[in-house]
This record gives sequence, C-alpha cells and structure tokens, in this order.
Amino acid sequence: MVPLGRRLAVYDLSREHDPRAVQAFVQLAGQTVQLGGAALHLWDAAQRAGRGAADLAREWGLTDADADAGWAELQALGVVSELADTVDGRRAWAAAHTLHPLVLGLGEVADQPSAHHVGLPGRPLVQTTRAVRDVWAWGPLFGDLWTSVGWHAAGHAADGPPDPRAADPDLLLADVVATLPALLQTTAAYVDLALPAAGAA
Amino acid sequence: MSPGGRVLPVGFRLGPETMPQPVVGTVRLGWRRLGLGLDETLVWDLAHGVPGDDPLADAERLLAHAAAAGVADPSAVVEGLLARSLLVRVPPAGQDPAALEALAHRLRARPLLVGIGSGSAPGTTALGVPGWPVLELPDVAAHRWDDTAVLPDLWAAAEFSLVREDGPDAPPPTHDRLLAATAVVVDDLPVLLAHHCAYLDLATP
Repeated sequence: MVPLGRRLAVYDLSREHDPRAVQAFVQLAGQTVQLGGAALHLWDAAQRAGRGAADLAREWGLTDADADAGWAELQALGVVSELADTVDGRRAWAAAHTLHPLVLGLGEVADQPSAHHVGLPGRPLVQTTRAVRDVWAWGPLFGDLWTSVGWHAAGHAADGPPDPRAADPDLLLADVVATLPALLQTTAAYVDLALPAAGAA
Repeated sequence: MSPGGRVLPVGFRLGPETMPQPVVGTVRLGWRRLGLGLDETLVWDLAHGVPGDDPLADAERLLAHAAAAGVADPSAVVEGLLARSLLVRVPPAGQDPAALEALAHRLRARPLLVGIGSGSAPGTTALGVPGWPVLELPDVAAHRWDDTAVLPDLWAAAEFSLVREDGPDAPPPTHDRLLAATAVVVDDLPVLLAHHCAYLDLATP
C-alpha cells in the first residue's frame, strides 16, 4: 500500500492526543485533500510500514473500526494505491504514478561510485544506486514513472555497461520499487498521480 | 557583476560524483546534468543562503561569503553561473519590471520537505520533516507556497495568488498588480531555498 501526495499540514485538535481528532491536509495532483484523523494515521503509517500500516495505526490508538473507516476514507479520496510487486503490477502502478524528490542528492558514497546518498546536508537518509537516484531526481519532469524508467534505461543501454540492471526498464523499476519504502519512510520522496497526458512533463 | 539586486540558485542538487567524470558538484537543471568545479559548487551552495543572513540580502553578501570561503574571484564565478543559468539575477525591488516578468516566466519552484502544521508562534506554519521543523512561515506565506510549489511557473503562481486574494470571479488583475504579486512570490523564495524547503527549476526543462 503506497500513500500518495505530499503532506501540507497536520493539526491535532484534541486537548489530550486523540488520533481521531487530528485533521490533515495533503496535496495530490495539485489539489488539497483533507484527511480525518484515522485516515491520516493510516496514511502516515503506510509511509512507514506499507502493508503493516493497519497494525502500526492500532499501536497509535486506532480501533479496528477506526482503521476500517480510515481505509475507506483514503480509498474514496484516492490517496493510497496498491502496488503488486510483480513485473506487470509494477509496470501498471508506475504508469499511473509519478515520483518526486523531497530532499537533496548528497552525491556518491565514499569509495562506492555506484552508490549515492540522498538527504539533507550532513544528514544522509537513504542510500540508492546511481540509476535509482537519477529516476528520483528527474522524476518531476515526467508525466509518469514508467515513461521515466524507460527513458533512463534507454540512456544506460546507450552508454553500455557497467550496470546492466539500469539498462533494463523492468529491472530498474524493480530497484526503484525496492527503494521506495526507504524513500517514503524518511520523507525523501513522495508519490503523486500520473499527469493526465502521461509522458515527459 | 553589477551592484544591487539578488541572485538565486537554480537547479536540483545531486552532489559530488566521480562518474562519468569527477566533479565536485552536480546539478540537475531541467533535463540537463551539469558538473561544477570547486569554486562553482561553493558559490552555488552559498547562494542558497547562509544561516543568520538576511534572506533578502543582495548579491554583495554572496560575494563576501564566497571570498571568505576562499574563492579567488567570486564575481567571475557568479557571472559564470549566471551564464549557465545556475544562478538567476533578481532585479532590485521596483526596478526593471521586464526582467522580473521574464524571470517569472522562465522559472518554476518545486517543493522539498513537507508541511508539519502549526508553528511555535501563533499564525505560523512549520515546514520540515515530521518531528524536525526547519522553518516557520506566516500562514499566508505558507499557503501561498503550497500553491506556488505546484504551478508551472512563477508568473502563474503570482496570477493564482491574486485569484486567492480576489476570488475566482473577480476581473483580471492589472499588469502592475501582477508584477507586484510576482515580487511577493519571488520574495518568498530565499528563505525557502535557504532551508531546503524548495528548489528552482526551469519552467520549460
């Protein structure tokens, strides 16, 4: 389960923290979407735990009924998406979404030219391959992630070895998807919907 | 470089790389990957702002910081970065409106980090990552930034800020009001750039 959109604000309206009383605003496809407390906690938990989000949300004080209502709200608002981690599932999901960086590239990891850190100055958050870093960094220029991955893979194929995984769009996408939980957990990226006329933006 | 005015950094930071060739800094500018030498990287990083500085300080402050950091000829480096579109010159307030308008059509701002919620002072919104606020903005500026960050260029952001102000059914704003709104949108940027809450990119990559 992948949360969609960029968080704009969260307001706790309760005197003593009650997760149901929280109100949040998320930006999705350029529009502001309001989430209730249960939905926000599940959306937040999905960033941190993916499929284990409901369990994490219960640890934060939501009941089963809250969680059911929260999921229903998230799905009705379209701020979560299901990603089937298969070749076809990844392709379909990537064609429907875009990937956007929320932190900076920090450059190569010392003595590992194929590995890069992303994060904030002095605060590396995620280590990626160079190819995944490029997909992340160029993400906002594309109308969808599958087009982006194809563009990058073609570039790597034209350049030839040393990274055959980067030259195959399905393998590159698999690497992006494998890195996605770390990018979301650390607020290093967010996922948005594909542009209506998908392709390069 | 000519006195007065500010310069802002343009592009998304990628950091130092040794492949395909060693560079001290790399920046994505639109579609392009641009390599920077040591002095260029220092100046480009410093152009984002230095903690404690007035975010609206003019380019002379950047030159002073660059000289203090050991850059031998800061003016030449700034001119080189301006020529590569990695810096952009913002005209002083009220001067050269045509240059301001051209800048607003040429650039867009994109978001980094997220909104957290109420800041520590009333009427402010905190930006950062959950549990780690890095910047507090007046609510009105934070809401304007939410819009600016998803609009296709800074001119469109200025137009939309007036729609927010006047309402959707109001008559179109005058050109002078649009220019004034553009100046407000552009003045929002330095503090956002300095705290890594935003980066500037080419509107047409």
